[in-house]
This record gives sequence, C-alpha cells and structure tokens, in this order.
Amino acid sequence: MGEEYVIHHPDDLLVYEYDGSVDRNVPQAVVLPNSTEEVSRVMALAYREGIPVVGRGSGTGLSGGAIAPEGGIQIAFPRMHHILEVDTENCSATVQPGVINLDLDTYVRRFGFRYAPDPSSQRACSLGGNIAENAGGPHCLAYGCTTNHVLGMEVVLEDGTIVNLGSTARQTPGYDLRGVFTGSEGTFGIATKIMVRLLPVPEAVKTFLGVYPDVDSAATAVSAVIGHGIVPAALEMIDALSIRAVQNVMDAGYPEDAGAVLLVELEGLQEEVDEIGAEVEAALWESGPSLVRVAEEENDRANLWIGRKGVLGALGSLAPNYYLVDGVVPRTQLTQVLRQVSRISEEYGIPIANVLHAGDGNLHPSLLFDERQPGALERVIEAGAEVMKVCIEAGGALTGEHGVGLEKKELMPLSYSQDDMDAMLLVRQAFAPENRLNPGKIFPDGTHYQPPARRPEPGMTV
Amino acid sequence: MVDRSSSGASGQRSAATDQRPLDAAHWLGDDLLGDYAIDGQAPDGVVRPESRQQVAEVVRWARQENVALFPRGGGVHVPLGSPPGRRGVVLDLSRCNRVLDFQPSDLTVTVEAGITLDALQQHLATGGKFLPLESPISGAATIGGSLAANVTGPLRSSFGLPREWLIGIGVVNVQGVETKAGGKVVKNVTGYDLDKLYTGSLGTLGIIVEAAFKLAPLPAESGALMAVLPSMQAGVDSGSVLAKQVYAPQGLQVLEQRLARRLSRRIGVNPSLSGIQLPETGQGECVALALFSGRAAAVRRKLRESAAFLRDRGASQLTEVTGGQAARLHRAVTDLGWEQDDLPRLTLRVNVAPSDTGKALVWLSGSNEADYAPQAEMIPVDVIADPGFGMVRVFVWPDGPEGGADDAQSMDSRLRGNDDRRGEPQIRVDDAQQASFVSRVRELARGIGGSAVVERASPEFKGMVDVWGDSPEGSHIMERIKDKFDPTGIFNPGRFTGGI
Repeated sequence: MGEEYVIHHPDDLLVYEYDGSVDRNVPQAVVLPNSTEEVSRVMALAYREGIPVVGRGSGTGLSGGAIAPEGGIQIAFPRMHHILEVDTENCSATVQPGVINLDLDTYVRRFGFRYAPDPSSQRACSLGGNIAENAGGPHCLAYGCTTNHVLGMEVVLEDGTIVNLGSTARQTPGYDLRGVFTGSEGTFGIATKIMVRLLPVPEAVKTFLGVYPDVDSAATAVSAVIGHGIVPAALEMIDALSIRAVQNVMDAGYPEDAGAVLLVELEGLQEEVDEIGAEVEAALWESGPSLVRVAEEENDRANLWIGRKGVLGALGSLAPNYYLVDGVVPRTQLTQVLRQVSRISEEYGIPIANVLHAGDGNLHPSLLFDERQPGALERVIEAGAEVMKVCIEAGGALTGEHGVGLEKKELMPLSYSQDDMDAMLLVRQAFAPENRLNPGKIFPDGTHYQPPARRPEPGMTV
Repeated sequence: MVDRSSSGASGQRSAATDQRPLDAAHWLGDDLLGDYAIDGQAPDGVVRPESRQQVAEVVRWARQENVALFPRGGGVHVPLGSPPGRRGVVLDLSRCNRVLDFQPSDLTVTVEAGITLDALQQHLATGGKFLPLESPISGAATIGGSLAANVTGPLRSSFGLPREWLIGIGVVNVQGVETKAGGKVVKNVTGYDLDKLYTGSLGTLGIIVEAAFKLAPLPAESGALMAVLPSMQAGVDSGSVLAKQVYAPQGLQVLEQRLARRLSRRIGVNPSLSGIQLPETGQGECVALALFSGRAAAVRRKLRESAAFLRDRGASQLTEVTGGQAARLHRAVTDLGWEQDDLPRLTLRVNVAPSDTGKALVWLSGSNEADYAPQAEMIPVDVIADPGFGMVRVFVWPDGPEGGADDAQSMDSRLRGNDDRRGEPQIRVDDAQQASFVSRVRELARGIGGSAVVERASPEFKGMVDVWGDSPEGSHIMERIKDKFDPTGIFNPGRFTGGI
C-alpha cells in the first residue's frame, strides 16, 4: 500500500487513540487505504495473523466505537472520500466511506436533492461511521435515521471477502443483510462503498422558536404539537443551563431568564407549511411562552438554530468537562424523566445541561464536571448510568443515536435479556465467526470501561 | 410429501402426534386440514395457540420432536415461497391478536402478531393515527404475515418497506423462548437491529409474536387521479417524472389496458365501489392511477398539478375521486390479483431500479427484439407497474387475459390441487412456456441488478422453477444465519431463498 499510508510511529498513533467519547487506547498501526481491494488485502492479512481490526471514520463517535480497546489495526478512510455517483433518475448517491455527511448533502443540493440524516457532527462525521452507528440527527423525526436511507453497500468481511448488500432495486430477495449491517458498530464488516437514498429539497421550510419559563411548559408545547397530529421535520429543546452556556459565549437572542427554548421546523409544500404552521404557532402559544418567533428565509432560520447548534461547544463556559448521555423515552414521558434527571443532578451535586431531540423523546443530558477533581469522573459515570436507568424504567432505551460501543456495553442487560443478546450474537457469528472486527464492543464482558474526560471545544455539537 | 388421505387416517399418527402440546381444542379437526394446504400439501395438523406462552410451548414441543412448523397469520401470503422442504404442522397465530399498547401521543403501538391489518387500522383511527403499511386482503392479512412476507402496496414509493415502521419485535426462538429486539421508542440503536433481519425472513428464523411500530397521523383528506395514456411506456415514463415533482402523488400505478379492464370488472361486481368509473381504454393504452393523501389544501394542489402534468404529456380522460371513494379505489387496486375468486395462475414480481421500470416493460411488451422475452406473446401477460419504486407485477390468468371472474373458480381449485388429479402432477405445455418466460425475465432482471420472484404459482409450476431465482448476494451469510437460528430446520423449512 505504500509506507506513507501506514502509520506506526507511537507519536503519530496518538492521534488515533481517541474519538468523540472519553475512551482511549492506542492501536498498533493505522492504515489509510485507497481502494476496496486494499481494505480487503489488509483485512485478509490481519485475519491470517489473528490481529483485530477497527474501522474508523472521522473519530466523532460518542460511544467509543472507533477505539481499539484490544489494540490491533485501525483502518481509517481519509483517502476514500469521493462521491462516486449522483443518480438523479433513481434519487440515490454512491459514495466512499470517508465522505463527510455535510459534504454529501451540500453537493447533492445542486441537483435539487438532500441527504436527510443530519447528525449534529455532520460537518466532520463520515458516511462510513454513520453506517456503523446508524447515526441520527434532528431531522430524523420526519425522515428516519441512517438505516432508512441506505440502499446498498459494498462491505469487506473479517477475512477480506467482499460482499454487496442491498441494491438500487428497492426490494431484494433474501434476508435484509443491509438492514442488520447498518448500526452493527463495525463488528460485521467494513463498508467500502455506500449507496444512499436522496430526497427532493422541500418547496417550503418554516422554523419556529418558542421561549418558555420552564421545561414543563416547553414539554407541554411538545405534546400539544404532536397532539395536533403534526410530525414536524425537527422538534428540539434546550434547557435553562444550556441557554445560560450559549448566552455566555454568543447572543443567540434568548432572554436571560428563559427556562427552556423550543425549536420546531416544518417542511413540505407551501400549502402544508402554511396550514400546519398556523396550528404549530397556536400550539406553541398554548402553554405560556414569553416569546414565539417564526422564520421562513434561510438566513433567518439559521439564526434561530444558531443557539441550538452551539450548545455543546458553549458548555466549556460552565465547566472544564462534560459527559454526554443519549437516552430515549416515549415522548409523553419527557416531563417526568426530565424531573428525575434534575433529581439525579441534585443528589449527585452534578450540574446537568439538557439538549433534546424532543420530538423523538431522545435526551442528551450533559453532566458537567472537572476531571482534575479526584473521583469526579467516577461519580459522573455513576450518575449517567442512573439517568439511563431512569430512561429504561420509563419504557425507553439506552441509546437513540450514539451506539453502545464501549461506553454502555455493561448496561445492555438493562434493555435486553441474555436470550435477546444471544440472538444478536448469532448474527455476529454469521458475519464474523472469528469476532476479529471491533472486538470488545456492544456486549457485556465484565470489563468496565475507563471513565471518560472530555473538554468542550468551540464548534462541538450533538 | 403429504397427502390428505394419509394425514387424515388416525392409525398412522406418529409418536409426535400423541404427545402434542395444548389440548384438543387448540388443534383443528383433521377434516379441515385441506384448507390449510401449502402448495397443495395438507399439513399434519393445525395448532391455534391463544397466547404467546402457548406459542412457546408449541415451539418447544416441535424442537423436541423435530416437527416442522409453518407459521400462518391470515393465510394471505402463504402462497409466497418454495414448496415446504418437509411435512409438518401449521402454527396459526390468528388468535394472538390483541393490541397490547397504543399510545396516540407517542405515535407508537405494540400488538400481537395475529391482529389483522384492518383491525389494527380501525383501532388506530380511534386515536387519529394510522400505520403506513399496506397488504392485499387487509381484512385477513395479519401484521406478522405482512412483516414476514415483506409485503408492500401501491403507496410503497412513499411508505417504503415494512421495515421502515417497525421499532420493536418479539420472536419465539428455536428454544421456545421469547426474545425481543428494539423496543417501544421511535429511535433506538441499542444492540443489533434484528427488527430488520426478521422482517422479510418469511418466518424462517423464529415465530414473530409481537411487533411495535411508529405511526403517522391519520391524513385529513385522500384523493385519486386516473388518466389514460397512449401506451404502457408513456405511462411509466410520465409516472417516473411525476414521482420526482414536489406535487408527486404518494403512489402511482400504471395498469396495462387488459388489467385496467379487469379492475373495472372487479369494481363492477363490488357494491362498495359503486359510482367509481374507470376510464375506457383502447388497444395498447394504459391507465395511470395516482393516489394522494394529506392536508386538504395540499391534496387539492397535488391533484391539480399532477393532472396538468399528465395532460401536458398526452393523458386523456382525467378523472378525480376523493375521500372514501379514493380509499376504496386504493383498496381495489391493492387487492387486484389476490382475491380468492379471481386468482392468477402466475404472479411474478419484478424488482429493478426505479429508472429501469420502463426497461422491464420492454421485455414484456416485445417492443425491442433484442431484449424481448418471447414467451410473453404466447402467454399473454398483464402487467401493473410502479415506476416510483421500480416494480412490475406480472399476472397470468387461468382464463386468459380477457376472461372474466366467472369461471376463474374452477380453474383456481384445479390449480390448488383440490380435485381428483392430485398425486399425479401434470405438467401442461403452457407451464413449460411459462417457465421459460420466467427464466428469461429473470435473466434480464439480473443483468441490471434486479430480481424476479414468483409470488404465486401452482405446485407443479413451483416444481419447475425456483420461485426466488438464483441465490442472492451474501447468500452464504444468510445460510449461516439460518443455521445458527434454526439448526434443525423447524421454521418454515425449505420455503425461502436458496432452500433456507
């Protein structure tokens, strides 16, 4: 493959020891292939030598998915970053795994299309990583997550075999291997070519911002919108602490005393957006907001989003580190669960800032701490697990879009019985009988993951 | 091979029969087994559990005694699949049909697998919601069967496959233990997405007993637009372009003239469809049927602009229907080719990339010599095309394309093997023609990355042609999955791709 594309000097490898989560471990080598054949050859070699292989996109994952806990070879894709084809007839695009999510979306817009899944790290995250984690994003409320947009893939299995899953034809005979592969967190194979579905750019978009005195009244507004039989394109909430963080670093136009901010986005025909928009506005006013703003022009809409998009980066103004949780609950349980989150915050003495994909019931509480204080990290991890338990008890799930990875594997029994997990493991045995791909992830094995510590940086998003 | 005389004779019961689980009230009388035949073979028994615990009990027994289980909901999709690999027992899930948890405000529902699609939709409508999943004969088709068969309807280009709406599933595994994947929340990446694996697995990996879905708000208005276009090709070409407009319908079907006439006759004999008049078509013409739903203002605009679009492209006799009539027309076209009194002798589903829908038509119409599937002329076929999704369904009727429904019954019962000639399969000449037609279409489909699945055919015909076609890509992984989940092959053995 060429010496320059194999990284093995310890100093250089440090760049690959971490991802967006808090786990770390240094791989023995990182390879930067330029073709499917090169990926296949590297994997065949590793297979023969019994070396674990971990795929890595941009390293923005939030559950330790791209970390090599047992060492081994990391395969990264900065060189496989080409958009291979945009098929306007079939509303699809074929890309290499290193293509950045936002780059794809930006590129296809010139043809009147969009790529709908928009994880908040979309400026940096790659399609390959999106496939591995079944990435979500605010607009998954209306359009579904990555898995609903993957039509086909070329994947390399652990022994180097190349297989095609799915196709441009929307239905194929046999088991839905492309479906079960998506979200398998790099344990079934490594995708080297990805065909995704594109959607037409909507005719009209309208964004609403509502400012509420507290989380309860904002959550009531969420219920009111959904209760009107409206599924917006996006429905996001941020709480008082997040608002304070945002206002510390920029003026997002939020009043100082705001207890919660709600963002609602509608897309569709002008008629739909107008008719439903009037209902959304009425629903937002029902639970006593101090302010409701509406924007239709692109720049005005971007201004309404600016605070929401800046939250995570702004948390640095409150604490040196944060630990981000990704629970999901039925939307009607949001108010109750948020109260419990604030109880946990008080009990542990840990400030928690909340950002929510409220329409999906997907919470992102950020537990704020200072890793230099002895024991702080351990307490944060403990409180985070407590939050996840609350989500499960409310009928929810451990993770909505970040994946299990290293972070949550020991908590899997909260969601699934041993029999449930055994069924999943049977599928892994079918794809990767030797378990050489991304080993040590997803399933509990008694090894507790080393607590995370992460510094907020400007531009970080969730 | 099972035949009714031996399975009905009491003295010949196997040891397994004597130790059957559940009491006699849960087993169907032997005299009725013929109604549950799969590809002409009556099962050894039909067991009808009332709870998931009872399903688990039946599976434990089947595993112990190595009895094959053929899961069944309403029986609508039983014709799909290769003939069973061995004899066994039908596991009828239609009594497990409760709504377990409907949360209108969460837009989620959890049900037992045996509930029919119609019963579920009626229940959901009370909360102003619906499940975007269609099946023919939705009064009988169950959720479990529709998931297992991966069924779609005329709105498939906007609803997608059933997988897009499933958020959780309960499956009784080969040990007789109920396992779960997913959950009740609309967004969930905890563990592997086995929902996708079970959907479309034709019951070969376990018995689906529970399913949770995300839902959509019930649309305020629905509408349908019918138009005549000068040829199938023109219909499909226009439909392809229309499907990409902002005012696109939710679904668009293009019916060949002969099939349009058949639909017209079906509408004529169905009192609930009175008042709906399909446009008159001449030789070679087709009918495009576009379906819409949503907010009233949006539906009105979509109908108006779609009509203008089609008119510009040479469409005539544009007819609009709205509300309940549109919904009934939607149902009539969904059911075409699936009704017991008007069953085709062959149904072939061709799936290609949406832009290749027109190409697939060329094989069937003979307009291009090089690509022509020549038997199409000797076996006049009727086609319905979905250019937005990339699907063409091909029907061959027992009475020929121009026949009515009146004499279909006798031919149908003959095809199902309910006559004296059972046991001495007769391969008709036209079966051979049909087989070479299917092979040719399949070869052409494969050449452009598509597939052709025989959805319905006589047992004799299934003996001549693999209903699924060649092994799909990744079939070695599929075989391994099947081996791991069901090592002794008790779940719907032999009916799926590659003999799975």
